[in-house]
Amino acid sequence: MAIIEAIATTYLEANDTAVIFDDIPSTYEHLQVSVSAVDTSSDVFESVYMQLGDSGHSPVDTGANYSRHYLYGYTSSELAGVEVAQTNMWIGKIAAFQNGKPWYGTLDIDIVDYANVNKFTTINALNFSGTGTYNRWTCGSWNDVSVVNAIKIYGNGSLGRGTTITLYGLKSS
Amino acid sequence: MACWNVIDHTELTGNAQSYTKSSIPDTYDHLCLQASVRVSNAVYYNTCYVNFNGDTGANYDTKAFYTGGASVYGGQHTGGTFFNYIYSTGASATANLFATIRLWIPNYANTDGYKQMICEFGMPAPTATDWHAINGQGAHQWRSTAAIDEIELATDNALRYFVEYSTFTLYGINGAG
Repeated sequence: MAIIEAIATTYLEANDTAVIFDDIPSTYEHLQVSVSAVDTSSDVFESVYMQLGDSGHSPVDTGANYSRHYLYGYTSSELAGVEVAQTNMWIGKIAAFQNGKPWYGTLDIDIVDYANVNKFTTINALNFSGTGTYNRWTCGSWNDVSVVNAIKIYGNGSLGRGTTITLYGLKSS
Repeated sequence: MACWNVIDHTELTGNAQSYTKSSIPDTYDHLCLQASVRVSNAVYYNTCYVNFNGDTGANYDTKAFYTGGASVYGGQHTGGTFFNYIYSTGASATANLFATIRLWIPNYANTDGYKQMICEFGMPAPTATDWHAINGQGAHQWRSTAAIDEIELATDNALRYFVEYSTFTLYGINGAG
């Protein structure tokens, strides 16, 4: 029996505002999300965000219940920041269509022990913008002990065609 | 043959000063330990140590970068008796907040070279005060050609404990063939 299972993959054949995974089973130990994405805005790259929800949300929590803490390299500088009481987790930056280059940003996101009702849900995200100028390491928290059953990923603009996002579940036995 | 395999999964039902997995078979290509932990010490974040095969010699090298607010810091520890610059949430942090620690140990069973480990740790906080949260990454080297058959992730003091609901999942990962 496989320890890692692909729960769902979304491939955008047209621009869309967000990718949402809903009704995620609680039978895994951890979740991973693999993102290859582009934004439709006119900038070189744009921010990308994540929200989580349980069965009581529709489908994700949009309240100011998220913390995000990050360090990143931008051109030749290293920077960091912390933001609390946010309405999302800012997980990185991805290339934008309008930079005229066929660049896509990548993210590797871990959602650890997501079904444990004794913990806030904590995530880690490793990100490269795809533009050669920006890489980032983020940890974030959804300050809620509910079981995660929905994930929403979205950008400042829309997510562009060709964006591919896969949700994996990791078992513990 | 499965690519990822669970070697061990432990969820604490009480306090424990360390998580140790012994008798790790040498049949995988890589190891990955995913931990979700909180420490009993009354601080916002608490140092953790990693040790291989019970080796307490001065054989551990660490280089890391991390942040506790708006600045980025680097650190190193050469010839240590354990890997450090690895951090968990402490007991002063908001209730229900646990840190994540992920250890990647490639080619752990080879007997030709020293072993490397990549550590990623993250501990967000719902308060914006510096050092109430910490996150970063470390590159580590164990100066031994022995195959790794034991991993210990411990707090930095015998009187500081990983608390109930802390979890540890050790994966063995196969390549093709």
